[in-house]
Amino acid sequence: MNIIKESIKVSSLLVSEYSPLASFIAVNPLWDTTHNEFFSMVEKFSLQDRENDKTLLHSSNVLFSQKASDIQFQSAYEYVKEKNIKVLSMLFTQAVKKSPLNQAKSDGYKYWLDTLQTQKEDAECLLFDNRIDTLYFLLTRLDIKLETCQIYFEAIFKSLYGFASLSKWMCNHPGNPWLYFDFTLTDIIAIWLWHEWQLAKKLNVTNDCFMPQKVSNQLDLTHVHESQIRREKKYQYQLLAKLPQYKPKNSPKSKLQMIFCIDTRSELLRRHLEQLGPVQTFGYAGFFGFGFSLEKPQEKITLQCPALLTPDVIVTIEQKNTSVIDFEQRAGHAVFQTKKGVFSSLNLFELLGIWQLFAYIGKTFFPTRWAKLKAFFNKNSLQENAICVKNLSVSDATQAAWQMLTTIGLTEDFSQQVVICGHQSTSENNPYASSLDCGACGGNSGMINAMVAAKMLNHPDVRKQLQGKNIFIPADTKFIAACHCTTYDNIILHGENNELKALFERACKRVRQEKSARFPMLTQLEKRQFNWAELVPEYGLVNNAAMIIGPRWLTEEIDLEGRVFLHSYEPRHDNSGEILTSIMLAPLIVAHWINMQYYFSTALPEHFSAGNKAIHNVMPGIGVMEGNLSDLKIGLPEQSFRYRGEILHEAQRLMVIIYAEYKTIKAILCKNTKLHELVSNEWLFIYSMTDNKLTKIIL
Amino acid sequence: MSSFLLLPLIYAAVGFLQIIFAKQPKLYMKMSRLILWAGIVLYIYLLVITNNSAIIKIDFINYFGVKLNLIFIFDHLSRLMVFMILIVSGCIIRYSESYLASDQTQGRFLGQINLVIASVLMLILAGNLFTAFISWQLIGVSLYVLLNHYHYDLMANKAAKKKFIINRIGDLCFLIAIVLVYQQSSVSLFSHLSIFNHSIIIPSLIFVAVMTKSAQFPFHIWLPDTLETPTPVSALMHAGIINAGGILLIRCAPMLNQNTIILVVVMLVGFTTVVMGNIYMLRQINVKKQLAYSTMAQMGYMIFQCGTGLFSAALFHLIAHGFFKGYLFLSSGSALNIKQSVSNKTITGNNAMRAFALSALILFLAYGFFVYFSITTPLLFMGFVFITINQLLYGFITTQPSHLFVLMFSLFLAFLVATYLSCLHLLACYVVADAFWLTNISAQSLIFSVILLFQLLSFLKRDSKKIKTVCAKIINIFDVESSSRKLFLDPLRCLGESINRAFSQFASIKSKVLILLGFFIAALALFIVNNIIEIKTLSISIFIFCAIVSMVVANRSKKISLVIFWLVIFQCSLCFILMLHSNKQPIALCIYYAVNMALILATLYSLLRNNKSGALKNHFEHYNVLSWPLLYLSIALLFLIGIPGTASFIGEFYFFKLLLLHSAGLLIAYAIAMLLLAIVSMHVLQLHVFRLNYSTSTHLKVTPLTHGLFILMLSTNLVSGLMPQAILHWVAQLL
Repeated sequence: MNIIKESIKVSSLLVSEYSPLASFIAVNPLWDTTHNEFFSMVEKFSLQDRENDKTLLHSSNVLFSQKASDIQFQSAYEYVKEKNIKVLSMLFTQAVKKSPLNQAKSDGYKYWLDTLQTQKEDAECLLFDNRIDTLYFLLTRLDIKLETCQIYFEAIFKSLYGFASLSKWMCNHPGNPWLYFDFTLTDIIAIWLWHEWQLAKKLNVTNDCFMPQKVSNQLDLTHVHESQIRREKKYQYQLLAKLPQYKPKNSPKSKLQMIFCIDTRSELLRRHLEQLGPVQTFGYAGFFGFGFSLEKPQEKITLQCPALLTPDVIVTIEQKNTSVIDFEQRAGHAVFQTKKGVFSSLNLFELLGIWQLFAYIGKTFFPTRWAKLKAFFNKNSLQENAICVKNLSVSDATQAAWQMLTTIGLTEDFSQQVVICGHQSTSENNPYASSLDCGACGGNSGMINAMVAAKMLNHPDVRKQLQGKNIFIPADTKFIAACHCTTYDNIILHGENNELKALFERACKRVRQEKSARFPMLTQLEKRQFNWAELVPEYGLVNNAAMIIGPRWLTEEIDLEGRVFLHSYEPRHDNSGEILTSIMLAPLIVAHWINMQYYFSTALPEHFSAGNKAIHNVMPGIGVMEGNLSDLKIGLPEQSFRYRGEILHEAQRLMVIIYAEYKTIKAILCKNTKLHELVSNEWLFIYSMTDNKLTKIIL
Repeated sequence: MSSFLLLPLIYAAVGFLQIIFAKQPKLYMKMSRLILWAGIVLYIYLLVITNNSAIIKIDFINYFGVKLNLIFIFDHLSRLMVFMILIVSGCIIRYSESYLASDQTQGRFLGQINLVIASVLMLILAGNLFTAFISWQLIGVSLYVLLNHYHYDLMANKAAKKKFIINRIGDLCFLIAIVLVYQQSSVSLFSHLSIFNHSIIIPSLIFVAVMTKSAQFPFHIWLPDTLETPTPVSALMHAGIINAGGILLIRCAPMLNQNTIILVVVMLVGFTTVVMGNIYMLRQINVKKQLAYSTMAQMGYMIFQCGTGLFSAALFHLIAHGFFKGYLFLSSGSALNIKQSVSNKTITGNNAMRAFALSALILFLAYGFFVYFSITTPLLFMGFVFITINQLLYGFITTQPSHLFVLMFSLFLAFLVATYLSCLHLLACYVVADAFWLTNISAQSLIFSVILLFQLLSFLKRDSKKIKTVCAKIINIFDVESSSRKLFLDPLRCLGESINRAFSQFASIKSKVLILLGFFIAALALFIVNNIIEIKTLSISIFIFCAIVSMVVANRSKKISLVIFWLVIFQCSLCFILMLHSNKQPIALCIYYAVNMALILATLYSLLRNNKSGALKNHFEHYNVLSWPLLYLSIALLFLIGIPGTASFIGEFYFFKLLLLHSAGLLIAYAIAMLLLAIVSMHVLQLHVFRLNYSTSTHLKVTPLTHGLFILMLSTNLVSGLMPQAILHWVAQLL
């Protein structure tokens, strides 16, 4: 028994954690295996290995095709996989929380046993209530040796990678607002084995057919890896050569300071803003230190914070709908209810069908105007007063504000206006919308976070307490929230300020020009926001390659091509290294995750990419499948890094440049085992940079 | 006058051009813009210049005693449907311009869509059964190509295959019906079909064809599997193509008008489909499948309406449903977020009563208004409207709106009902005439009360466990796909498998030649015996049996040479049947047939002979192009199956005609053989053309000989298929 448990534990390290698509958060899919060398893990998921898995699971393929006449053109592997997917997708649909009240604990394994009983009267339900017992029983029936079952389990997980990943995430995030089910990776193995056993019984396969045996004709991938290493090195030299050696002497006092997200898309905007006016910009994680769960009326709760945190703070928005929208919502609910009825749906189509034509034509031919028409009825913009923050004490708010201001080094010389600029993406009819939004805000718009941060920083009590921590914000300094819309590249400014608006508009125009020069296929940016036929509203963080943690003067006036995460860091405020530790433990990891997400989606699309978005099929509340039936798709869709066969993302590992002493960084790495693993196994590269020295950190 | 034929023609032309120029994005994008505007401008122009009785007549086949004409009409029904198709397809084309922008295959995709639209337009314009059949088959073939758009994907290929084979069943029934019709009289127009008012067989055969196209209950299995192609295809299919069955039924209205038995059958099939589709839908977990099953139910409703004789209602339904479903498919990406329920789910009797009373009031007012102007609609359909409105109002009231909102919503509903009823009235007056036979009020109310009972059951206990288990059981019992596999396909496969195994044990070239020789000698002996003592029926049945067996075996043959060998036997048996009728005309046909078949088989063989196995290439890089050999192969196989305009199609037609003289059993046996041929061809396509299921595969090589053979095959086939008379004349002149 213990050996089974142990094998499950070891083999489940291969499985990634994948959240439901509504809160798409980029993760390193192989986060639990970073104790291995990077390329060894890449090889583990190569195409060759997948073939191995197939043969491993069914060395009986040949025999199978002779016996089962109705599934001859389908291998036994595909057959069992299909059966499994059907069961799993049905189970996960049960796990979707319909409303926040529906918290009753349901047991996925029991539910599965129940469905077995209802489907087959004669169900040979010899399965035990205890999962491990069941596994043991099935393994012995299939004659799989317990010593070798770990390879077997790994092969199962790799075959059902999407569902396994979702279930792992579900187990590790019991408090999430989307899915709830008591369903573990053990159950996935049990279901697979059960189907295998059924098949074996059906075909009367004798025992020795299911012996795992590894086929060993590995493709030699070293040349692929070498070319990647060469590419990475080339990029690293180029980037390092660009950086200035010394701090430029006199910087004029700027009249506007802006805080952006570290997102690579902010880099373009920051550069152009700085070029246009005396603007000082900073980079900080896009939730600006204020993570919370957001409750909007008639919408699901969203967690507006990085995936590493669980927020206590609750923000509610009292949004008063205009009566038109209110009416529309109620009517929509009525239609939704009617559509589900057996006979009531029949005439509904006749009553509404011909009127739907207007929406049909409007959305297809005049998407922008249609969206504007809709916005006309929904006039209410977000008011700052409408935001109501609960569970956030003044001292907590002060702590978060202090953390942010000291990290980015904005402790003095405040300008009159400080803009806190989150970012969001606008797209229509896009299940992957949250993958384009702010990752630090949990795959949501950064607008509300910026507003909360601005509200807190404008709060007199917070400012008073900040004075106790030696940060004196002048009384005439005002924090303003804004939002960078990354699809059209415009800035929504919260409040009226024509001067700023004009400046932003000029900068954004340049950003758009640069963007369309880089991606000539991105035409009609404005329309892309509202076009329901658009599979690729924007290319997101494509081509990310490096992260620079340091003061802005390091990178000022350098064209970084939108490939770099920029985090502001001022070593002179950080003698103990605490701030750097917190940066390296959170934003650095997030950047690494994003980088790895793109890396694996591009380099190993068969396993880690979501495939062709054009045939995606949404499972409400869970994610997408491809076509009729497939494994749950994880990762990025092919279209977001590929254009007509040309790959837009250069798959390379993240290069991190930290403006700090070698010793400091090394000390931090030695303290944190995970970071140490990442660096020593070359999942990312860290360079230390000081005024006169540049060193690569090698452990 | 005759310019309305330009509509499908320009779509077809643009489609072919787009496929040819699939590598030049600018060019094909311009073409797709052009077709959009050209279609609309042409349509408006046609509306102005033509009148209701515009008609085009083209002689298609005119030999061996049968006159087959292509007739196109542009009446009110065609005008309305063309309008609908133009709008739906315009939106879909525009949508796919952005949707597939990052796909290399976009040009080919747009071209294929345009071809499908062209064939749908042709069906709408069709003026007689034969024209409808031709476009029917064209829809089948072009849809097969479109569904197989990602032809390197096994699932897509399987779905397309399934669709094609089920379609083939309908095709064959349709063809038999046409043969029967021409046997009795040469009718030229749909409206002349009323002379078959008392026939049972012809309308039921046509209805089987309708069932396969419109996904009615036992034949629905192809519909939910077609999601392996980009979303716009699903939208087009569910908004346009699936209505083809309904259109045909509405066109055949003159024949069905008084045929109460058939109408009852139609009604029952429709009703079953509604119930089954909705039960299946409840079990689906992804959006597109839910939509697909919902379409099935809606099509069932449309057929149900046809069954009651309310053709105008069916017409309105298919238009409205087309718009709605197309919209839902295209916006299926936004279904990810589950909407937070606005209502608190405490069902109170009060709400239900209020909803009931209000909806009754609305209907009463609307109905009264119409009765006042002496326009009546059957009570049965008012019942359906009532159910919907009641549910809508109930759903609205549970959100606890203010009184003003309830009033507004009721007014809105009244408006909807009024427009709906007036549309129905307009359609019934100007487009199709109704033949509502359920005039008996008690029958209507009986049907309606059954429906109401169902509705109440689902309304009260939708989420209860019992209903769910019952649904699960129903689904298990009526698992059409697996049971049909078990009943029909598995025995055939086992048989084929065992014969193959036995055959492969002595399958040297020598033995094959021996078998062929034996076959020919036996055939010769049969001929001689046939001339001495008249045993025509017996010999025909022997040959048909040979054909069926050869196809059963070919289905399980994995080697291409074996498949071709069996195909040769199949075609020879068919030729012998033709030769048995030794009067002059079929001899000419027989020669055509034999020459064409020989050419097709030679092309196939020369293509597949040169294969050598090697590692599978990565399809990813090259998937834009279907290479020449593959194209040749697919065209040759399609010719073999009998696509209109080829000699094999005419052969098919004549076979039915000949066998009709003998017995119905032979007719059915021949139809089964043709169906098996389609299955075999699909298998060959899957295994050898698209090279699925094999990790190593065959590389086809084209030699100059193959090119030559292909061109020869194409030209003879087309010439003998389209203008057989010309050749006959030419030969006669030569002699």
